[in-house]
Amino acid sequence: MEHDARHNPDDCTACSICTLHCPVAMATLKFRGPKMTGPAYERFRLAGFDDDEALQYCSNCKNCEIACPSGVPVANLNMLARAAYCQKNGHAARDMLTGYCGDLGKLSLPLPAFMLNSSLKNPLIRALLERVGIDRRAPLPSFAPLAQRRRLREKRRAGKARVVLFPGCFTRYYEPQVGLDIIKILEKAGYTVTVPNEFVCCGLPLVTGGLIGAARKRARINSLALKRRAKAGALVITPCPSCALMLRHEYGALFPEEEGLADNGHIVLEAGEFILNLILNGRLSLSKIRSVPEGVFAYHAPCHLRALGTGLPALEILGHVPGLHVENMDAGCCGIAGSYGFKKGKYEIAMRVGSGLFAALKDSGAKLALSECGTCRVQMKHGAGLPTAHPLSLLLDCLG
Amino acid sequence: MTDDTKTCETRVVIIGGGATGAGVARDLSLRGIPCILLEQGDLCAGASARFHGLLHSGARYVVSDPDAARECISENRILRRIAPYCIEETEGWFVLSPEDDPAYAAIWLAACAHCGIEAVAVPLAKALKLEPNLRRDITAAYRVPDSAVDGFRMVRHNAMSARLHGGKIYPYTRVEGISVEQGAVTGVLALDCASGQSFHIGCEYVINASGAWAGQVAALAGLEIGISPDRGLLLAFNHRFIDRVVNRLRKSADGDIFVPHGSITIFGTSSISVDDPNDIRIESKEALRLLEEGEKVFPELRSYRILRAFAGTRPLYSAGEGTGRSATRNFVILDHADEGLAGMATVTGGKFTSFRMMAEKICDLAAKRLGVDVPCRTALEPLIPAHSKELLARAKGVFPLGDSDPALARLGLDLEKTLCAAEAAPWKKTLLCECELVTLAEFETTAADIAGQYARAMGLAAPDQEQKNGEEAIGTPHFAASDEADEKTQEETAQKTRAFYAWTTLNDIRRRTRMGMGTCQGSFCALRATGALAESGILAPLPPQQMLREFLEERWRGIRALLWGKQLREVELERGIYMASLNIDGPGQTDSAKFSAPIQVNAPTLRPDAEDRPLARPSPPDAFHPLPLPPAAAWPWDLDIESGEMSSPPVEGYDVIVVGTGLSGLIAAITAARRGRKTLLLSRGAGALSIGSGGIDLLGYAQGKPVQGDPFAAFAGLAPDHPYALLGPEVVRESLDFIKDLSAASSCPLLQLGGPTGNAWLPTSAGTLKPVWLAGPGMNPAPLRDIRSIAIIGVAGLKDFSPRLLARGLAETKLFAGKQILPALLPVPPPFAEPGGRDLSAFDLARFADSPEGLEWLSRELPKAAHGAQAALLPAILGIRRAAGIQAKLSDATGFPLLETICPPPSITGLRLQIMLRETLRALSVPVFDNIDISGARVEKGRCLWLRTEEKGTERIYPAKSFIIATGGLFSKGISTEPGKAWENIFKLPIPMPKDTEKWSGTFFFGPKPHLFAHMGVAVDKELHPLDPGGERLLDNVFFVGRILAGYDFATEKSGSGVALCTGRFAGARA
Repeated sequence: MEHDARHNPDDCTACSICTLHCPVAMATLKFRGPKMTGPAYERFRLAGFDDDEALQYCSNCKNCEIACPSGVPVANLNMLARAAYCQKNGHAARDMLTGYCGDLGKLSLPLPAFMLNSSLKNPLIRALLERVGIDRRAPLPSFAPLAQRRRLREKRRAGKARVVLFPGCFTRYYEPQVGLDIIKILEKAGYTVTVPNEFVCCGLPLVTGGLIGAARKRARINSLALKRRAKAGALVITPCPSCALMLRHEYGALFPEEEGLADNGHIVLEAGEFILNLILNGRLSLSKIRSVPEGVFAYHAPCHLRALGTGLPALEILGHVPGLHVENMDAGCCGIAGSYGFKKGKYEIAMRVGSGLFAALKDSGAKLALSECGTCRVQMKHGAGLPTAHPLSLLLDCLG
Repeated sequence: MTDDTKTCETRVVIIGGGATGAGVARDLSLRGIPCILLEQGDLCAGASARFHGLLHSGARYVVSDPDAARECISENRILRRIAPYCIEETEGWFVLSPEDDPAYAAIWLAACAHCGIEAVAVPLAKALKLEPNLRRDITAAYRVPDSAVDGFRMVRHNAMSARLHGGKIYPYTRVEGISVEQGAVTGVLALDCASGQSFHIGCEYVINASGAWAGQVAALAGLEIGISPDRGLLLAFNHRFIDRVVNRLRKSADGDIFVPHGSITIFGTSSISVDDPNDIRIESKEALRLLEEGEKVFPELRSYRILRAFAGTRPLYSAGEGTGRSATRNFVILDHADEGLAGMATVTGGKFTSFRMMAEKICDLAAKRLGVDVPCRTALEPLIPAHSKELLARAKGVFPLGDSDPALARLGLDLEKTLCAAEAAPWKKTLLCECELVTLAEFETTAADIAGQYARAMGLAAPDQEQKNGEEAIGTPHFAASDEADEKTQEETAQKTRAFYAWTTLNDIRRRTRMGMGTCQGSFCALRATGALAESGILAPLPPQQMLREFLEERWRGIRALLWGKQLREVELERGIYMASLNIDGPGQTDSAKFSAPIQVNAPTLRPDAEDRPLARPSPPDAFHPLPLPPAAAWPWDLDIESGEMSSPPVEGYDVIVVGTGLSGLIAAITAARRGRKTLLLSRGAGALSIGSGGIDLLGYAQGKPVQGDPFAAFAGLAPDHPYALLGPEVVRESLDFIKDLSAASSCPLLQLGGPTGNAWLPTSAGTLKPVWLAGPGMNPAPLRDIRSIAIIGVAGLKDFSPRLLARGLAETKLFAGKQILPALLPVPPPFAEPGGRDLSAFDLARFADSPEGLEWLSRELPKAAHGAQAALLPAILGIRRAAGIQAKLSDATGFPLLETICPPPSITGLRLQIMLRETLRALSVPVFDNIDISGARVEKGRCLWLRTEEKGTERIYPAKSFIIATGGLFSKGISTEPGKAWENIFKLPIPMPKDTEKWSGTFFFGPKPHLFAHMGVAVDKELHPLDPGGERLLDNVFFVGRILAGYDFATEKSGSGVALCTGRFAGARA
């Protein structure tokens, strides 16, 4: 799992298994596919040949890395190549918008949700956004009510809390309730949880936007914060699999030249993994289930959760709730890949990628669709028209 | 000279088609002197491409040989001017490492100044930033005007230029004699290697430019030249780890030159005096010695993938003095008039960098003797005129890297032809070689040019009819026919010629295009190239399968001495594709001796003689390492609130943990879960199912012979440690029944197509038949028995399937003998008509077939392509999820049966099986953890307690009652190797192998000597528990299954999926 993206393309045997498992390659011939874009072209990039716009088709969903029998960091090779390409050819405005979503979110903090959301729904503004490359049809997420966003911020407590919640930008600005739900579950297990403000955006949206320098800065800030927390013996829990992947594994892989960035990634755990083990260790009991909602719930495993290598803990947790009927869709990538599906020229591809999942969701007869990843949920709702939730929010519903 | 020897006339005959010879041909042609160049092999087959590709600045020679240095810098400047397409202006560095003498650096700097070679110190910090892979503690770096030069291209462009100015170039033409009359040369007797026909070329002058062979050529004229061939070994690495040439700053020695070359890096050389210039053997120990030297400059060198090793013989002119490193690198010109033979001179010695000057000097001499008073112009004119703006603009739309694509430099004068071909049929932009980015269009243009060589070679018999260079039509080789000549002889000669070129063509194309010279070393492109040749009609009467084998054997020669690590993984993939899936090695596919005769039988791979098989009873390996224990700190999952202590992980684990998602792992997990065992599947990578053939191969070959009749009967002859022998036939039968039943309800049922007791021989896309026990209904050959005509239908742009290649091969087989075979291509299907960034694959087509539009399109187009044939053979593209249904629907719609073939990766048949098994697993609610790299285990008292991952700072552990290890073999990294060493990857079980890597394999890729590495694996007992070298059981609750097992060779036996299935089933039932 621990890859050094500076590593060369030498582990690739050209077997092409990655291309067979690449959702984007499946959806469009315009993408050269992971093997070609990653290790194969890397040999030519190393030889000084310029790459082209085709680099932008990789969605960084990491299915190639999951499928690769050789441990080639295919997606990371792509991202580093994209960064070099953008550095040379300039950054698209939309990549700045989506890349700096964390900072933009911060700006929005004092503003009430209706103001933000009505402006995002305003056709004029959408036309403007389309001019900079955000597809008019893209399902941009809505900001959560100001009060909710504040409530999560207020969880910033002093003292010796040993469990730290890293909500991630999506939870922070769009669905603070997910963070609040997870805190409640952890409190049931007896933990005190804090949401400190020393962390910043994990930097993944910057990486996919080709803004590697800005991502590196975030990595430095976060790794310092992780260092402090590790020293205090704390764990960092996040509801977002992508943030977990970034904080835990990717700093070392993307920035191997910087010492210390990867040293404390191991204290970061995706929330489901932590809570499953609380259950298995008997710290959190599922014997006192208050209510089990009826009907079928459809579960979609985010690609980055699979890339984490921790299995599907939330699915397992919900499996422990007697009477709860959750079905694993196992229908591949939803297509959104963070902000990929928002972008002009990528929207259709993302919708094609997700079409299998949308069909499965619709066929499932579920009234609620579950997934750990915020943007996956946005896409699921957009593509299948189902309301969505974080699986741990459903767990909390059951626990009452 | 016999009566029927043909003759022709020219003024000068040049012997040798390396850089010097081609340079001479160009020089003479530019002076207007008619000449013919004769080369015994392909152009540039000798030392001119078998060197490091360094265009010397001369700095390497400033201390030892200042004259040579001055010559280098002067030629360096000229070549950079006239041959920009052959030279990459990288600059070069001389790097001083701590081991080397700083005093030498001072002497060297002074000598550089003295020779007029600019050597500028590079600040160390900057040097390390520019070349981050350099060792960190170098003490100095100096910049000199070294560059990288492409030998193939330089020779070819010189030849192109010569041809453009009237020179004639005859490759594969060996000089048999030099005629002398009254103390003067009158001509040369040559043998056209292709037709086997001798001919005489009358001439006034002979220039011997045959490099290390100069002594042999001179002997033909009764002369003696002191040439001591000196072999140098070079290693080509998979990527560029440097941006500039790096020399080690010390007295010239072995292993001190690194040259970045397009997509690769070349590192060399050694210097070994040899008797025969043809002695270009590659030895492991020499390669290892080079690596040891190279590591002193690039510490990570051993971790880089080596593509191959190659050796060349330098022509060192000794005249009785030093040899090897001490011999001069200067060239000599020997005017044999001085020895009483008028009309002949030899140029030899020297180095690549000075080839032009060598040519100039000897041409001056020849011109003087011929009384021609035209000065040399080779330093003034570019080899190849620069491509026009118009061509560059067109190239943008054709080549993957646009107008900077390396193909532009490679193609030279052939660029326009290639562009036209790609523009006329956009699907020819398809990359035939994905590693080196060679388009089908470039391949075809080059192949056609070589086909033009046939014409020229034939033209030798009637020189006047030779076509002018550059006029051959693309893709249509033709054979100059002379009316006067006896037609029958002509036809016979043509046959022979074509047969000859069939042996050489792929390698000729490789040298020109770099096809097959990248990462996969031919694993993927060799089949495509053979297919593309078949489609373009260039193929000879020889079976293309033979050509494919020959090509892969050639690639093998460069890898064999380096069988460890990443190279070995690639070889394993290649064996999987060509032997296990496509069976291009196995005999017994036909009654005709013609087909199988040239195939070297893969003789007793199972039980070689005692000295050949340290596998079964190994010589004592390195001390058996105790199993490693994980560090004390474990999992930070459980955090005690009060104490803040991290406690150990949950005691309650799984019953069974399976590691690996290939066939054996999936079967084991399904079996265990069905028994009610709480099962967890851990995987890293998607498993190799989608690159396998998707059927179940039970046992196709035993003792190197095809299994006749019931494979179970052949079990008796298997070695006692063969997995089938360990499990016994009953387990095997039960497992086969199991998967038949399991698949019966799915969309890809597996059927016993060969009847109750025999293998089915099924067609593959290499035009061979492969013995298979179970396969999908789409492969059922039964409908073929009673028909007389069959269409073989490919799809334009689907590069992995050539109908003509199949037709050629299958026509020879029992199954197809006597049937009319109609090869045809479907057009590019509408959704893929607009060429994109990715080439069309079988996967795209199968998904298209899954859609209603696809089904409709296929049922409309297939009958058109079938031209009334009674059945059609297709690549495996008939849907993924609804395969059986689609095949039936299409057969109904078209009115004739449709069959699928076994195809190389991406294998749709394999993918169907993978999907079926994964869905079964999901229905059983077995959790699958993707992307987990299990790297160790905790073992106590012969039992494994848990598996663990290794991550920075911490690890995760996975406890269970029993463990099934299905991590695969060399390809899937279940087994790792280093030079002379192999081990299993989780428990670090050593696998005894000979220290000398060369003993790991037989001389030939396709046998007959078996490869030891193919049997490499974990030795187990009858319960599949691992054994120590003494035969004692090591672990009671760990089962090993699938390719990681010792004792069988999946590739030659065609038994891979059978062993995986049965061992997985057995372990799943016991765990």
